[in-house]
Parts: sequence; structure tokens; C-alpha cells
Amino acid sequence: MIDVLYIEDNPDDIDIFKRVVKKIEQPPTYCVLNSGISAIRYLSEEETPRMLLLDLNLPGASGLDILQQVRAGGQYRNLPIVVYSTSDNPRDMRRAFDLGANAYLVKPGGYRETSEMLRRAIDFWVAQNDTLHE
Amino acid sequence: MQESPFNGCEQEPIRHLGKVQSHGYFLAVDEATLTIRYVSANFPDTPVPGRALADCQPGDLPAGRLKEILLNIVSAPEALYPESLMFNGTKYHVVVHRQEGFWIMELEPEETSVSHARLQHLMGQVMADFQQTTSLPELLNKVAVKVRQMTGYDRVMIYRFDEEWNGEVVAETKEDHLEPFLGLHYPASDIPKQARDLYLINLVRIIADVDATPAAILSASMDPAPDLTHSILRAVSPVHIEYLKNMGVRSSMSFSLLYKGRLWGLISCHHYQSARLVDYDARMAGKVVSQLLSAALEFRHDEQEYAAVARAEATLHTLRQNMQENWNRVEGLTTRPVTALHLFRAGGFACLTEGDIQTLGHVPERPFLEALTAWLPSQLANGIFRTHQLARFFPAAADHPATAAGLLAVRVSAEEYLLWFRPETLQQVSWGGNPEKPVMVDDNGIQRLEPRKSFEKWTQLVHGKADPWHPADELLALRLKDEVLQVAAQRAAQLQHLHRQLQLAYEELDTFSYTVSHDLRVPLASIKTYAEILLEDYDDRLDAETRPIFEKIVGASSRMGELIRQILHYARTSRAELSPEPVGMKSILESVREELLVTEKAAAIDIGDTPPINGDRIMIQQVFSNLLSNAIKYSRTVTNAPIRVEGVRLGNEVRYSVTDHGIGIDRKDGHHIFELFRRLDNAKNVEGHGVGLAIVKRIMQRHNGNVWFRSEPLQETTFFVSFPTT
Repeated sequence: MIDVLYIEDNPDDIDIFKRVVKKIEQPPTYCVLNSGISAIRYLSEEETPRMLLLDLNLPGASGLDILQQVRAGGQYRNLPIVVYSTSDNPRDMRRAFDLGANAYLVKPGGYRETSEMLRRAIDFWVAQNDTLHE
Repeated sequence: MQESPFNGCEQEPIRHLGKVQSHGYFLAVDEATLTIRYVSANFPDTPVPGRALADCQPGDLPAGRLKEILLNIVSAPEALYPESLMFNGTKYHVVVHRQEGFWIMELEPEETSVSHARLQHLMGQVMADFQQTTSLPELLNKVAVKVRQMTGYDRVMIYRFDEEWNGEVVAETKEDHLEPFLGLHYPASDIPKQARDLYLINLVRIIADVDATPAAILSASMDPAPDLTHSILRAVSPVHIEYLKNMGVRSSMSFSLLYKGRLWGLISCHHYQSARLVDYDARMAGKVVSQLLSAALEFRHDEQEYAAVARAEATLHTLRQNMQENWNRVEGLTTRPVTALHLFRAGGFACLTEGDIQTLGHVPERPFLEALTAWLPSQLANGIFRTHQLARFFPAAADHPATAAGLLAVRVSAEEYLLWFRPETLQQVSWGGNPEKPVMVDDNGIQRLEPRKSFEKWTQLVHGKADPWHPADELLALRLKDEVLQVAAQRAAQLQHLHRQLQLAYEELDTFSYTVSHDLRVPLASIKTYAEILLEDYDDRLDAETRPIFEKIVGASSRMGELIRQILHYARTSRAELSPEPVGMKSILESVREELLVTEKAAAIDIGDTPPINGDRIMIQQVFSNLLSNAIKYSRTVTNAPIRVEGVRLGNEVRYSVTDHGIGIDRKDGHHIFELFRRLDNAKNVEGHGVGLAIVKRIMQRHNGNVWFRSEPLQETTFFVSFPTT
């Protein structure tokens, strides 16, 4: 079981994510996928990750579409889903929570804030999930 | 009673006077029994009423002759054509007509000074005149000349009535020595109503001699006098006889001219020195001429009306097009080569729309138009109002004779009126004598009309009257109103269509701005992040010269990111759905304060009373976030100056104020500060994009609220926002 499944199509964001994760003392295990379809396939074929980090603006199915599909079945109701997007539009936020997101993080657009935000999110939700499964 | 002076004349019984003119003889015979019922007293060897006509033997007539001639006339195929009769050495026309169960026989002398052949020749010429003459005044003149040649009177005039039954002499031919009457006006009272009614029925009248004493009509019983409407010998009222005498007229004759069933005028003939009788044949010739003229009047009027209607239709068509082509339909009526002034004759035009006044031509000045606008709705019960004497209804118009003597007004809607004005036509009216008749009180104390004695030309200047509006003008004004309404309806449909298109465009713009912001912000975030990575992770490889360069990159991309974010917010506030709810302000202000103090550790914000606001929670938060962050930014240089925010209920609004003691706003910049991207001179050293207050203003507009400020630079600056409570 991996810790983080990160759905993201922007290579820069992926690169920055990897840099941040590398610096964590006990780095989480992760997998990055760059489309909604591959994410759905991963979930159906592989072991459920400890958390899903989800970008919204994706080619093909959008982050919100994935969110809806994942939450549609009862199967993944305990999977923490954290939306991680550039959009600070209240409409997107409301919609994400309506569809069952656990958190909504606006990408801060800077190295220090990004690493701070990602560290805390991963720490919290991975640990949260562990508590749930014990 | 004010109108009573004319009662005397108006009430005089013209038809039942019971007298006939004495140049002829009158006889009324019972239709069934052929007994004599009425006879004029001047009949030689007066036949006795009650006796059989067959036994009647007046003068040199044998018994039975009158009966024989009556039967001849009434049984002839050409209805009631007169026959000739020699009687006591004079040749008479016997003219018969039927009246209420009687045969009325009138004997009138034949008078042959104008021969039959001459009459026929003149009639031929008249026909030619009608065919060849194009102008009405010319035709009237020619007719007057021909009628004079047929009848031999000293003067023949054509007299035309106006709408109020005053008359004007419009054509005249006369003996040279006579004073001309052409152009003179005569008051309506000169020819009273019952006389005019009679003129409609009986088209020819003759008064052979005003000096002759009329003959009474005798009857066997107390029967009332017979109806003399169609009598050729009827004696006219003594008042009229006196009137003619005062004018110096000895004999007169007139023919009625009709236009569409209404009395248009008269052909009026006067003879002065001697009595003059024009006999039956010449009178009939004159009657035919007058009937031809009546027909010509209708024909010419119709032609003129058709032409006018065609012109008006073309004008209406053009005006409709103008209104459709101009977005502003009032401009369509007023700014093109063809305007609302071309629809019919008028001096000025005004269109009143919701307090706005557009004018054309000669109209009174604005204060007058505004007063008129306030008064007008009370007059428009039927949607239209017309007068050629506005001052009679709206006294202030008396001061504007050159522009507003006449008014035609149409209501388009409760907020829109079309007005046409006509100037005063200063008329120099020449009356045939002073038209104010003196009133005489008779022995019984009853007011009676004294016929006018003076006919000297009497000139009067008529003020405050415009040319009267024609009923067709009224119809055209109503037609234009319909056009305006139609164009308005079309315009409403167009607006709806545009509105839909605009909505679609807005939705597209929404998507567009989201995409743009996203697409701009993503690479910008990369630039900033990688610059920070260099500073953070590769610090050891940078030197004192390169490090500040990367710091500049980080700073610039931060500012750009913030600008994009704010522009997006601004765009969003104008369109985002408003979800109003009661918003508890204490928690909002505290969370805004907390947020701001993260980066501005030195600032202090006091929160006072916090009455709730009705509004959109997110937008309200934005308002205070912007106002408070401005307050912090612009008072950074001042130490120990807490910012204060508090609210108060005032009537039906809740007003919040945000007060700081910072650099403030210069008076000269005051009206600019809510504009997008506007930054003030004294704020150059403070970071910002000039979007915050523009957002505040928009949000307040969307809440039907208000934002304003009061500032004494470097002393105290307060921004106020007020939210309506309902």
C-alpha cells in the first residue's frame, strides 16, 4: 500500500512535489499519475493508497469528475481525498466539498509555502488514515 | 343669460310666418277633395277657403281652369314641372308642390329679360369653366360672373362659412360704383341657425322686394299656417328684411353650396336701386350651377385630401424607418431629414420622455414645457388633446403666442407624450360692420335682436388663435403614436435577444477568465517556485551578486500572482450569484483580523459594535478584508495608531466604519479612488494594484449599498459602508 497517489499533469508541479517529498525525514511512498483515466484504473487494479492528492485542471476527466466517480461507490469512502489546485474560486471549493473532498488546498505558488503545505497535509492525512485502519 | 342676445333671432319662426311675398299668389288645395284650404290675401277676387277649386273663378280665369292646370301638372310624367298661365294680362308660372296633404300652387310672374337661349349659352360656358379651371378661387370668380349674367343682379358674391359659422366673402362681381365686399367677414349671428337649416333643405331663396308688404295667408278655420319650407313665395322674417334694408338692399337671392352634407357657403345676389324678380327658369339655371359647384368642391377637396393622405403615409413610413434605424427612437423622430414636424403643418414639436424633452422647430422654452407636461395628463382622458387656442385651457400659453397658440398632444404611454405646436396667426379680420349686435329690449321686456345697422368696414385684429387643427391631423398623430408603440415593442424584443446573447457572452467570459487566470498562474508559480528552489537548495552555489537577482524574480512573480488573483476577484464580484443571508459580523471581523495580523505583526485592530448585516458572506468578508488591509498598509508609517472598525444601525441601514490615522487621501484624488487600477500619488511607496476599492465599490453596488470616505491626510481617514436592512 502506497502512502500518496498524486494525480497531476503539470511536470513542474510533479517535479516540485518530488523535491519536497525527498526532503521529508521518512519520505512517504507515492505514485504520480497524469490523467483521470489512469487514476481510476489504478484504483481498480492496485491496493488503495492512504491518501489521494488531486489536481483539478486535468486533460480528459477533470479532478472534480474523478472525485465524483471515486465517491460514487461506497468502496473508497474512507479514502482521504485532498484537492490541490491553483483555483481559489469559491465555486470550485464548494463543489469539491459537495462531492466529498476532505480538504481543499490552494497551491500557494512558492517553494517554501508549497513544501510547508504538502508536508503538513501528507503528515496529517496519512497518519489519519493509519489511525482509521488500526 | 350670457348667450341671450341671439335668442330673439334664433327663435323667430321662419317657416310658419303665415305670409307670402306679394309679387305672386298662393293657394293650398286639399289633396283628396281639391277644396281650397289656404289662400293669400292678395289673390284677385280672393277664392274663398272651403270652396271647391273647380268653382274658383278669379280675375279673367274661367271656372275650372285652375283645377285643370293643377291636374295637368301633377299627372305629367316629369314630376311637377311648372306650366305657364295668362292671368289678368300677365304671364305666370304655376309652380306646384305637395306639402302635408295639400297641393300648394304658387303663381309667379314670368320674367324674360334673360332669354332661354342666353341661359343655355351661359350654362354651356359654365360647364367649360368647370373643366378648364384648376384653382378654386378662380373657379369661384367665374361662377359668380356667370350667375350675375344669368340673373342680372347688381352684385353676386360667394360667401364661405368657417367652423364657427362666421362668413367671409371669397368671390365677388358687381356694378363698378358699388363698394366691394370681397374679403369682408360677417358674424355667425347674421345668418342664424334655423335659417342655415332651411338652406340645407331649400337650395334657392328669393326676396323680390324688401319694400313690398307681404300678403297674409287666409284660412277658413283656425288652422295654423301651413309649412312654407318649399314655398317659392315664402316671406322672410322681418328681422332679415330690416337687415337687408339697413344694408341698402332692395332685392336678394341666394343659392346654397354644400360640402359633404354641410353648408359650405352661399352664392348671394343683391340688387339695390329697384326691385328685381328672377323667374323660375333663371333660378333653376342658377341652382344647377350651384349644385355643380357643390360637386366640384367635394371633388376638389377629395383630390386634395387624397394627395395629403398620400404625403402623410409616406412621411409616416419614413418616420417608422428612422425610428427602427436609430437606437434612440426619439432621435429617429427628430434628427433625420424627415421629422415629426413633416407629418402635418406645425411650428414646433416636442417629445417628452420620462422627464427628458426633445424639441424641433419653434417651441416655448423649457420651464413652460415642464409646466405644460405637469398639466397635460389631466387633459388627456382620451389620449389626445387638441386646441387652436391653448390659452383658453392653459392661461400661461397667452405669454407664448409665437410658439404655443395651438397644441395637439398625444399620450404614447404614461411617461411619453408627443406634442405639436402652432404659432398664433395674427389675423386682420375685416367685418362687414361691427359684429357685436346691439340688444334691444321690447315692450314685453323680452330681449330681441336688433338687426345690424352699420355695415361699414370694421377691422379687428384677432390674437392668440392658431390655425385650427384638422381632424386628419389628429388621426395622423394617433397613427404616429401607434408606430412609436410598435417600434418600442420591437425594441423590447431586440433587447431581450441581446440580453440572451450577453448572458452567453458573460458565461464564455467566465470560462475565459478562469482559463486565463489558471494558465497564467501555473507558469508564474513555476517561475517563482524555481527561483525559490535556487535560493533555498542551491544557496551554496550563489554568490552575493546573483542572489539578489533571484530575489527580484521571486518578488516580481509574487506581485504578478497577486495582481492576477485580484483582477479575477474583481471580475467575479460583478457576476457571481449573490446569496444574501444574515451575517454575524463579529466572527467575520475577527477572522479577517487574524488573517491580516499574520503578515502585519505590528498592526492593531480594535473591533467595536458589530450589528449583523444582510448580504453575501464571502463578499462581505472581501469588503472588510480590503478596507482593513488598506488601513493597515497606509498607516504603517505611523506608530501606535490603532485601526478601529465598528458598526451602527441607522434607520433602515447598517453602517460600518473603518478608521485609521495614516497618510490619508488628498481631496483632489477623492473621486478617483474607487476606479479600477487607480493608485494615488502619495501611495507610490505602498504595494498595491488599485483593485481593492474597485472591488469594494462593486460589492456595495450589488448589495444596493454605498461606500464613501472622509479623510484628513495624516490625521484621520474613515471609510464608510452602508448596507440596507431590507
